[in-house]
Amino acid sequence: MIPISYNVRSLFVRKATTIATALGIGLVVFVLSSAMMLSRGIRNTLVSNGSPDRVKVLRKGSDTEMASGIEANTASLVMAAPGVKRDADGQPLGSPEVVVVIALDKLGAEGMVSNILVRGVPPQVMKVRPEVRIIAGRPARPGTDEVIVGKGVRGNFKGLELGQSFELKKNRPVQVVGIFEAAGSSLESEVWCDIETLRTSFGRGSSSSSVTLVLESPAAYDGLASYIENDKQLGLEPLRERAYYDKQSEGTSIFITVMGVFIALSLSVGAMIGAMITMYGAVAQRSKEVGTLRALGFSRGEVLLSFLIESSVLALVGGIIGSIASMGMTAVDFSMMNFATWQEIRFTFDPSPGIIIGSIAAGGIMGILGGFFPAVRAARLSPIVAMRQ
Amino acid sequence: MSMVAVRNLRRNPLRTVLTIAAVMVAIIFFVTLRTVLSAWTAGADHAAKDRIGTRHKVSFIMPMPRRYVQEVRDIAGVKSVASANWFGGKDPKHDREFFATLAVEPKEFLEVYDEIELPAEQREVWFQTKTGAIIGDSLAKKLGWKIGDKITLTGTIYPGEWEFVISGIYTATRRSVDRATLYFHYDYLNDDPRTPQSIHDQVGWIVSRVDDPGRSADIAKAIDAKFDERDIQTLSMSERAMNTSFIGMISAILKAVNVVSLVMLGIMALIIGNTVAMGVRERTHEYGVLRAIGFLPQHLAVFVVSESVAVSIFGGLLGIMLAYPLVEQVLGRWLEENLGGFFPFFRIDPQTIGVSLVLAAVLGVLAGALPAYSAMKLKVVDSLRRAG
Amino acid sequence: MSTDTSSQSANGAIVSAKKVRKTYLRGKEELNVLQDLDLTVHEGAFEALMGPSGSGKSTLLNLIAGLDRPTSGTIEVAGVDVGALPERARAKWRAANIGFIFQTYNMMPVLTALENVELPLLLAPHLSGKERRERATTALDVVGLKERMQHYPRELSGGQEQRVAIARAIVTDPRLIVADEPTGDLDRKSADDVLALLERLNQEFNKTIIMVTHDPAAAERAKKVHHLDKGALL
Repeated sequence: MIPISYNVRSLFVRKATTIATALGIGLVVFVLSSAMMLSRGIRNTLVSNGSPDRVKVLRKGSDTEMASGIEANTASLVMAAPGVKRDADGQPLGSPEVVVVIALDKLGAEGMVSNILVRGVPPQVMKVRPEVRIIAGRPARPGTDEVIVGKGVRGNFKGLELGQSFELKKNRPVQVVGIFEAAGSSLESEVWCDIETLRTSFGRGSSSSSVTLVLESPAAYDGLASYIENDKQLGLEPLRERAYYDKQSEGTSIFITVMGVFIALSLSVGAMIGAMITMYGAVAQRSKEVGTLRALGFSRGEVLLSFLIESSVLALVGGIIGSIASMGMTAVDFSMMNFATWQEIRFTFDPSPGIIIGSIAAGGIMGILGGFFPAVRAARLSPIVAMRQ
Repeated sequence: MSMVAVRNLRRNPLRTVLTIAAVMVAIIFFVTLRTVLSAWTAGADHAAKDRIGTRHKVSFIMPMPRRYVQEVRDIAGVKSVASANWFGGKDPKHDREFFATLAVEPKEFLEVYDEIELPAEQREVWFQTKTGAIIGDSLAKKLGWKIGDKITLTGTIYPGEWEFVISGIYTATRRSVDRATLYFHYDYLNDDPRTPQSIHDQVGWIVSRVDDPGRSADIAKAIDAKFDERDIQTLSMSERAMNTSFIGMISAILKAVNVVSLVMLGIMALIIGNTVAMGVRERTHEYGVLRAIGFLPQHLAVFVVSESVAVSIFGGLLGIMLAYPLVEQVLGRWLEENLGGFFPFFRIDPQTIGVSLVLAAVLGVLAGALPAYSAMKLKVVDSLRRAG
Repeated sequence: MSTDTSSQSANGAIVSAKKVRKTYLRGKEELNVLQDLDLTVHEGAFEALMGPSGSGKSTLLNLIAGLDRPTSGTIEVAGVDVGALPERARAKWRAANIGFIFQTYNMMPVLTALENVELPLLLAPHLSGKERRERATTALDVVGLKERMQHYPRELSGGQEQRVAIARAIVTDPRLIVADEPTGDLDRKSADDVLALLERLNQEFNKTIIMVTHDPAAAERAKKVHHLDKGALL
């Protein structure tokens, strides 16, 4: 085999060309990898809300909490259903919640408003959602106008900072007394207040948007589900929490993936042509060297392989640069509307070994595809060119 | 002297063709992304200035009392008023297809949205059929619905199965209306016992048409002032201002698309620059000869830069020529029919063409700058010695 | 380096060309570069091919070296009908049997002298890296450039570069060395060094050498000189 050091050193000789081509491929890999990381981030943020032992109950036919409504007596019936875990006092672990989306002024963007989800929660919510922790300030006292703010939106909107206040609706100010985190989930992009405060402010009577239940064990789901579904009077639909959020994230994350892959594919055509130009140049410039190698007895296959290796090394260098650069995106917050809820959620770019390896490999493939025809040309060079003066 | 550039380009036809192809791909892609952006903002640009939308102050998904409609009608300067309710119906047979379903008061609605074209006889039939619905031509095409068809939709906000008859198929004379929406009688919805009490006699939003578009901001203020002391306050703005605020919510995506289109141009500049640099390196000896004859470094720079500008402009023109049929016929048609809600009008903005050509030329100059500099720097004696 | 001659063919001829014809198509015109040429070269010979430009001497050398195939006629080299071999087999055969010396040295500019000399050994089966290095070092020693083995071609003079090329040509211990204008790019002094080296290879190591040249001083070193004109031996 023709030594790889021959290819690597030849790449070094043509520094400017090598850098330009590798950067072109690197940019494509950067875009691809960022899109995949964002798509993964969206899924993780939304799906990490889901716990295997929790169930979300909505009105039948509602896709989201926003469109759902459950009357108070129905809610208590569901909480008393078999399979629902109870606490030490024998109280069922369930949380009826009201959600409302309100528009707040965005900070740092003059005149821009964006949607924030406000969740009215009952006092026992922390038992139902143990992953929620107060990281600053204190919990809101039940029955007051105090609210706590998820750390994802803290400070991004007017009034959403510890000690500040904002209006739920006109003449209905609430006070921010705490900041909470929720294991990186989309709950961190919400504001939580007392359920009664929200009900009275928005004329919700005693109804809720959804009820979240804790199961005795993940296996208890089937029993609970058939209990709820069989009672047609309830008119409710249970969903494992994870399945619910999966559905919520589906549209947005597929959108980002499809768009990212489409864009990266289009970009890669350009990068592959770039690699092709470079490799054709390399073959033309080194035709005498190739002819000499052929005269010395290296076969066409070996020459072909050698140039393919050269172009894939070139592309892998670009791929690694692009992949490393895309790691920088992990420092970037991406605030976007979730299509399913119209709510603005802060997402992050989430890398994974699969994404890193996959996007570098995609770069390598671009190199192999772009280098193929030039390599064929090299392989077809006659050894006689070595003899030409 | 630019003849020299063109001749030089003919010396390595394969490389030139590939470079032009790369520029072409880049420009097609750039034009496509720009069109995505402009199509998204087109909603805002083509939105009527003489229409004012009024919604619940807290959130547009919260309803307002129906009597507000009449009160808006009484405000000076308001010509006609319509209301709409988001129904959120889905066709169980087309589970994956999303389309907007809105409950409206037909007469008032067609008055306010006068860009909707509906044949007079279909209009009459619709007015008289309580379960009648009209659909946009692109929705009709997508789902294969015809006038007279009976359809059943499942309500997501209003529970139950709802039956409709297609009374008409509309088109639009302006881009401000989505042609994939289903509109039906508000009364059908409101009078039905299945409608929850909490949303009975409620409307999602109110749209008013004003006499003088120039006064629309003042009238919007007057509307909000009227409800300021009520239980439910309103937020009114012209249709254009409303669309702009929606764009604000997806601004992160728009920003990303913007960045990506610039990345494409960056790749393009790298490719052109690389090609020209390769040519300069191969022609070192010739440049030495030219210098020996008496050409100045500036002349060499002109040769090099005009070569790269020629490639980029030629590739740019080809790209634009190809982008037109590709974007407008293939992609645009598909998007308007299938994603009409997002892209009601997916067409290339003439301004995009201008911008693309100018950018191609500018990138050509930039890409040629470094190779031109290295050509200028060549020492005559050295370059003569370095044969071929 | 071995001087094994046991595989000499019965008549002692390493090259025997019979009725070799080579024509090229230049547009519509047929160009006869070689016309029914016969040539025999014996093992251990040092022969030169001379002739004006276009006489066909380089074409003949290419055919002997198995770089090209005759239009008609046969060329047997070391007992093998080279023209009959398919592309792949010819490449293998060249690697095993032919050592090349070019006018423009044809070093890989990115490889050191040692790596350049090692290159043909990569095609020889069953050689460890250590063995390859030893043999390449020995070859460089023979041409007197052992101490320059870590240098890149651009750091060597033309004469030195050509001597490295000679080391590369002998490192596989080929049956036949072909040289195409080996002194064409060299000054007199370097040319004489290279010719002396070739002469030594022939005499001391019994290498068979065929050399195309138009340098009378080079031809003088050969034991026998063939003159070509218009595709035929004179």
